[in-house]
Amino acid sequence: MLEVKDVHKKFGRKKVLNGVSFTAQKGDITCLLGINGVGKTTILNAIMNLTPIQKGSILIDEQPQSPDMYNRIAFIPDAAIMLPHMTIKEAMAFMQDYYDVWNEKRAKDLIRFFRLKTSDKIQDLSKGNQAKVSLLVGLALDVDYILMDEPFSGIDIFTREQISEVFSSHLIADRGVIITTHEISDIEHLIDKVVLLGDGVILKEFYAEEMREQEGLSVVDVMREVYNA
Amino acid sequence: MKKQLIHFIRLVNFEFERMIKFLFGIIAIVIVSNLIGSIIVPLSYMSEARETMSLESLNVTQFLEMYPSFSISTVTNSLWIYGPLALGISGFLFYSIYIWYREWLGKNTFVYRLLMLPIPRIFIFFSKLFTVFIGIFSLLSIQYVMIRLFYFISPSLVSSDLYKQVDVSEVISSHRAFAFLFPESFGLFAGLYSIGLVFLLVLFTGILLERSFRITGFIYGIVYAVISLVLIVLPSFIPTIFKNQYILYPSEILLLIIAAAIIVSVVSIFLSKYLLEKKITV
Amino acid sequence: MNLILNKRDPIYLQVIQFLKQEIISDQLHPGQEMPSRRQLAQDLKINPNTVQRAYSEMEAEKLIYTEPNRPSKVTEDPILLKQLKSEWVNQAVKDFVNAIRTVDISIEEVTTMIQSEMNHTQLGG
Repeated sequence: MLEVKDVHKKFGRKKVLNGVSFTAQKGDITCLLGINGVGKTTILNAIMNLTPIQKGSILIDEQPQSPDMYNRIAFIPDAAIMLPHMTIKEAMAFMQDYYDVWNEKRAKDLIRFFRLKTSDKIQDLSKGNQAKVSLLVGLALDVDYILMDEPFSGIDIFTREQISEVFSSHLIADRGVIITTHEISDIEHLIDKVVLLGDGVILKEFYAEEMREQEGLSVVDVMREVYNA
Repeated sequence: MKKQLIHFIRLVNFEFERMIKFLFGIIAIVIVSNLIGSIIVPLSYMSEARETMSLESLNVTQFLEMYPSFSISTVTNSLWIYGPLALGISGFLFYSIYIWYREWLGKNTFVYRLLMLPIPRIFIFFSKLFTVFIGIFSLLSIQYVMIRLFYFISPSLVSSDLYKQVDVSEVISSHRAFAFLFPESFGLFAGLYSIGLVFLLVLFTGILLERSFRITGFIYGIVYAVISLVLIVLPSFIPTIFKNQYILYPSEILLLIIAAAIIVSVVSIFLSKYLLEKKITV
Repeated sequence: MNLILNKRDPIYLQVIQFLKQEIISDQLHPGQEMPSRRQLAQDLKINPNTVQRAYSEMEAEKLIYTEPNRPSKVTEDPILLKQLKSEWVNQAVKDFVNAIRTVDISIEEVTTMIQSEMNHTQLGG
């Protein structure tokens, strides 16, 4: 289980996170949902120890953050994070050089799944294909948790379909996934848990299927209730 | 332990490969410019000498009484050698800053990847430090080789009666930059490069302060650099401060400087480690 | 496989409905192996956990069964299958009757219409 406990974060004087707590289970797809600027990306950065927090704690399977956590949790940011002049092959080799948990077989599966060519340079790829490379290097790690920041933003519909296929496939297997998005409709059927965020606080945390079963409400219905209240 | 060492070596290798174009560019400029200098300087010396001799109707002996003879120092004191060396050194100063900022700037923010490597983050710091050092040493070694090479090129272009044999150690010790960069005594050599190392450590720490706290961090960085500098030079001013020349032996002052440099280095490393682990922001 | 999901009903129930229909219409015949939960999740573009839940419920209803280390299979129990079919038709009839309750029409007329619709579908289908 991934636990975010009472996390506070300021940028200068501006409060970005104001006591954020939620959990994400292994095997679940957890969706951090909220309009832009409510701190979704900051939460992921904080989980990955890529930005300091002022208060609170983050536990990964009950352990605090450490360099070794990157062998257990992978982050796919909403930006290309390999060097632009690298070929896909070189990017893969780089990952293999440092990560014990690099799974070359799954990497090759992903290359096939995304129909990528390993000799292509990252800088020559379309935005959609660059996003696939980012996914590739993250998903090919045998980690327990995968964090994805806005995996669907700014890419074409076909790529979007292909990426959402990943979620139900063996490429995710039984790992825990946290994704952030401001647009739920593409993935409403794919997610287990929803964490609704408003200006640095968690407004509601629920399982989508329970909400449908017990209240007869869709995720969007709940959002409407929460955000219009 | 062994695995960590391998990771560190890979990281240094990776940083080195990223530097290679820059390094080869600088080295190419040094080599080409030095070669041109080693040819042009003696040729122009010769033509000037001939002109002067004919204008003032001097024979060689008279000429050498009034004008300097040609030696390898004539070559090394020319802009052909000073120029690229200054360019190279300022290039590396720039590169020491660029080696950090490039990770944040540009379309691909590689800092995410670096910080998410399952290795101690101080490795990133040391790999960059090593890389810059390797670069500077490569530049200086090439420069040294070039000085030796001048002996095979320049003398043959000058008439032997105008050429004065000066050996390498003298060429270096009489040269303002080389005397400094290639000191003869090992103590001086070690001291000089230690100072360079401390300088880089402080610079890197300043950069990390800026990267952690942005504008406020930039001010912290400058304050940190000033304090470090004061601490290191302070011992040499102790006699002046106390208006007593005999308060300390020179060797004691040196010892104090070394101690200050060690303190600054250790603080820099631990502060950088802390910043990279706890304060850095992508 | 094509399933259009609505967003307000639990997806696992929609999946169960869908699978029951597949069984009744013999798209999935008795004793046939069910697709793996991941395969079905991928085909229907839904979460594997949801398929897991649907399978568990169906297993509880004995509509599918699982031997250790084997994929789940559709039940071969004729009584259960018959029951499933009649439940399905019952539900359809209930919905139908509910829908036409307010319409002024006699049972004979309705029977004729059903007859002709069924002929139609058979010819067409």
